[in-house]
Amino acid sequence: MYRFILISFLFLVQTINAQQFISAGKLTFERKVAQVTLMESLFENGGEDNIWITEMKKVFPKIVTDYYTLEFNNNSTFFKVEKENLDNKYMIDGFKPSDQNYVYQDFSQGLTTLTKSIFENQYIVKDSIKQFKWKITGEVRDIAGFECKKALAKINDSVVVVAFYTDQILVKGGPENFNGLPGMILGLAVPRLGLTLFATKLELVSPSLTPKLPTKPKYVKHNQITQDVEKGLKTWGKEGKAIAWLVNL
Amino acid sequence: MKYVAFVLLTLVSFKVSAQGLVLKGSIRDTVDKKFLKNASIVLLHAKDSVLYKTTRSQEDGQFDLSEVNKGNYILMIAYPQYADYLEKIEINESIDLKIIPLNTKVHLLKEVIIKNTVSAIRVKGDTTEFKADSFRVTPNADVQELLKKMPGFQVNSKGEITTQGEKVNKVLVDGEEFFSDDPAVVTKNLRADAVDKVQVFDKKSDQATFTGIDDGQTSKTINLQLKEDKKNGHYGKFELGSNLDKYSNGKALINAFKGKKKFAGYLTTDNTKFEGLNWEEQRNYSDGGNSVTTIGDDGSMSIFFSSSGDDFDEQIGLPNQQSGGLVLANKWGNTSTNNTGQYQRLQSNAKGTSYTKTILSNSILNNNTTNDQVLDKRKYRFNTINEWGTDSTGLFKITFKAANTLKDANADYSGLTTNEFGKKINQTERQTSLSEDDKLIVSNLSYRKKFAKKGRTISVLSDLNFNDKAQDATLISENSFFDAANLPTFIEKVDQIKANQQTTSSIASNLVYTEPLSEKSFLIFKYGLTVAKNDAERVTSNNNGAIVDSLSNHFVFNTVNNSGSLSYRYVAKKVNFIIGSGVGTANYQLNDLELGANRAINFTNFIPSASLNFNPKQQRKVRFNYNGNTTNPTLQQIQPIIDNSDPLNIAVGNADLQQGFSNKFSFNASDYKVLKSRSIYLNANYTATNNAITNSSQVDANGRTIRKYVNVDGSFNYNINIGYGLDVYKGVNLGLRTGKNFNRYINFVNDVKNINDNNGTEYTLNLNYWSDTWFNFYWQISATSNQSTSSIRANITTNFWSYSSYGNFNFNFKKAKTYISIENDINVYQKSAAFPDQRNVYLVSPSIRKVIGKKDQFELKLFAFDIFNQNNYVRRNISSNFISETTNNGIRRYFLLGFVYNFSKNSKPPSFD
Repeated sequence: MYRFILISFLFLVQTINAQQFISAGKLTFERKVAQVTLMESLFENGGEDNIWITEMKKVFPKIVTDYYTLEFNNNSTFFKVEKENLDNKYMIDGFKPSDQNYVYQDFSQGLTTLTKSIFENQYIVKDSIKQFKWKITGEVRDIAGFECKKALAKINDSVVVVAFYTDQILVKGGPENFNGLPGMILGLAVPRLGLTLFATKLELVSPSLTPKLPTKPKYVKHNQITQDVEKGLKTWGKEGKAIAWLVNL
Repeated sequence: MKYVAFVLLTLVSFKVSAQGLVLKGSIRDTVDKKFLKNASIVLLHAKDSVLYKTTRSQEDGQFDLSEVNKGNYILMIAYPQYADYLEKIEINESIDLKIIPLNTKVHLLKEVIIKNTVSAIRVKGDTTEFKADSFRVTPNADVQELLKKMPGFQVNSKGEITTQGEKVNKVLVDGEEFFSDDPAVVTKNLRADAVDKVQVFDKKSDQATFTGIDDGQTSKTINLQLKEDKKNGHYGKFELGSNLDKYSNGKALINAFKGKKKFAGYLTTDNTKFEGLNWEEQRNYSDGGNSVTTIGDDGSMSIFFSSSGDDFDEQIGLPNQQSGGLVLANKWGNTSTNNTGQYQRLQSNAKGTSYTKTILSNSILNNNTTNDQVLDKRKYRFNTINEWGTDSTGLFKITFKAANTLKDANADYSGLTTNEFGKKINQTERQTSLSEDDKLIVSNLSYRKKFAKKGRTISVLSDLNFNDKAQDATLISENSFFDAANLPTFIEKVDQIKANQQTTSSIASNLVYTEPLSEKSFLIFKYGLTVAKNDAERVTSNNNGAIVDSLSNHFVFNTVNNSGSLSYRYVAKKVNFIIGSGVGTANYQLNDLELGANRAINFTNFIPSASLNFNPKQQRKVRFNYNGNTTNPTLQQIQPIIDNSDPLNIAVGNADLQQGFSNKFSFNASDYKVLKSRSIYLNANYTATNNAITNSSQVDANGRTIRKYVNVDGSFNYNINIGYGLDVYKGVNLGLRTGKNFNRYINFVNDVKNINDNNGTEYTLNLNYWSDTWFNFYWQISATSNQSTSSIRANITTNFWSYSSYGNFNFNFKKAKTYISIENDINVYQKSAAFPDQRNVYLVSPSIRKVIGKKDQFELKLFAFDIFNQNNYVRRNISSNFISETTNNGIRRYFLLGFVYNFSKNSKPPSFD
């Protein structure tokens, strides 16, 4: 009996050790958009003198939740929506998840391949991996059982992104096109967009990391999307700006 | 050449030696002295902690960071379950740090004997809490302004906050910390009145949280606790306008709220337009103009509103209206109540002329009438809407509406009918008066429940209606008829008093149940039962008191409608459709109490329907819709009674009427390119009706028409519209639209079947520019060709063109707080053989508005209506063998000087712009 306990104890220690660093698997992210708060922040006086906004606040859910998966090995990550939920009603169309969209980051080649549908256009981007200027703050937070360190970066020159990464997952990836921290990003918040993405689950399964591409893909660069959106939504005011931030994720 | 190559080589190697410094070492556990693999080695810039380089240790604990520039750095080494290693390091040359020892956290904690529970916020006894409402700030103030008002707080020009003598390092929102990383979110976007409490406490240092060791250092942190429900406040306005003569208007509006309690009230008086409150005002100060907001399957929001909130819809003649109302509403938890009381009075005087051409197989009659109508209508209303959410899935709703409308109407008509050669046929003088008392009670009870199984819902709806209408009317009429020599042959005089009494009551119940078959498909069951009773008594007597039997009767009309339907609904991302069919029976019981005759009529209704939505891409939609509908005759159509209120145009009911059945098809397709700002759409509708209820008119030699309701086959209509819109120049949008409609209406004229074909083609162009800047406009012009033929006189075609233009141009001089707008509404009708008079209205109304006062609370307005002084209400109708044009007077040119006082606290009235 004593021997058995000892053996099982050794076995336990070994599994913990084996799982101390993770090289491949599948993460599930819960994405929440605090859309009412976001809408209020986009309009003067919180939109209270605008009938459209006040009516919207009555019928749309305050927070919409969707689930994404991030599959990874040591060289690459593949981020996409788990399943489109037709019952989710988004106040701003651009936040609506689409199963046509994914982000594939190949760190061995330094390349990102992503597809994004923005209004009538479906873009396929092939570009070098986006660079972020991460500031490490020294704070920690527990996410999905992992101790994560906090880091900050900015997109579009002024929009703050808060990320929490773990050293225990070796690839320097993350959800959307975020990357470059010493380990995997398990938590992400863009306060100005009311957007958070937090990992809820890790499965140690072998990842499938093959992006679906059309037979003759027409690739564009990151900045093509930004240019098109800025031009197309010139008269949309702050809402257009928020969508421009959003498409840059 | 060799020389050059050598120089290049030295340059390159020099660069490597100067910049490509190497930092290396190896990571070892202090207890087991084991080398650690995969430890995270991170090099940060010392000045701002920005990540510079990162790597992992090898199997043997070794790491090396190459290509490192000279500078000051922080070296951070992390390994799970071990305390982080942090060291400031200055790199001027390549460094080998040799062995770096890492301590396990457990080991460290044992030594220091401090257990730290890593919590982001600690709100305990040492927290100071402030109630935000107790500090007065200006409306729309942000959080920064609020903090400045609080005791012991200082905010400097950079937005840095100091309290209790210490600098505040973090501002959390509802305990969530990442908002503090984006100061713009808190200081610029968060409003002071959204904050409930401001909590100040000491948060453990980042270092302590990071390492798990309490170093005793703390930092000042503010937490902003947001309000569950925002605020108390009010808004409203006073408005007065006058032309210093006969035209004037006035409005007093207020909406005050305390949390979810709402009190609103209004008073209006106006003799310049047929409107008490506009839609926005109804929404903000009354019961919401009966608006319903819904989200569609595609996530798009629609606001539906019916105009019945405001009853001043006569729209012809000169108005004079007064109205007032009170609204009390409250909401607590899942329960809400909304109570409205209203009073409206409208007096109007319409003078007009009407021209009707009756095309008969052997002649044409031209009838010209003038009329003068005086109306006085008072309406008292009370509505209450109450909702109880039993839990998050069930909702119980009771609506009760009571209204009493009193109406007095007096009208004088005079008319002359001639034939196509100008010979007199008849002449009429008529005076009518009506006094009506209409009482209406509408109540509605509904219950909706969503079950735990997704898609399973039940709703039960029951309407209980009661209506009592009493009318007292008089009819004095003198009709002269002429012979071939234009001499009167005989004169018919009518002098009658009518007393009509009608009571209707009904109960309509509906049950709808949806059952999910799979995640994407559902079955929908509906059952409806309506029981109604209508008791109608008409007593017509001559002025000597003798009852006119042919015009007097008493009917009791009972109906029972039963219907059930089953549909199948399929919802997927790109396609959703619904297909279903229903069967119903309608049972009519007609009891003639005067004659003691009873009659029962049974109808069977068949109601098929199908609709398909296809969304192949974002903003691209295709929709197809079909439904079949039975139209049952109304009481007035089926009751064999005579309505002689116009003795030259008498309507007679038909007891043998059958129900009509129509098939309706519609097709819509649209595509909108947002980024390109281009839209295109096509809409088409087709309706064919079997057994359509139309009329058979008998026109006698004296020009008198008797209309009887009959059924006829072969009526149909269709319309097609195509539109295209694009951005033509920097935000100026051009829209082009063309539409065609065709309507075949079949009736009988002196027992001859008459097929009326009515054809219209419309071309519309609009230009609009929306901008926040000093100028924006909307302008539309359209041209319509109208054509009509009647088979009884196939050689006559009536056609004319009509043109209309609507535009509004706004000039906003924001700095001078002056706003100019010009509105135009132009209607031009082509002269033709059928319409010999030119009836053109160029309605142009400019206005100028200046905002004054410290808080922009006052407004001076100068408004000119119809500067060309030619307003008229013109309507042409060519849809059957009766072709008509009516022209009524309207308000003409006036200049109104207005004054507006807007007041508000903590809020502003919502508007559509």
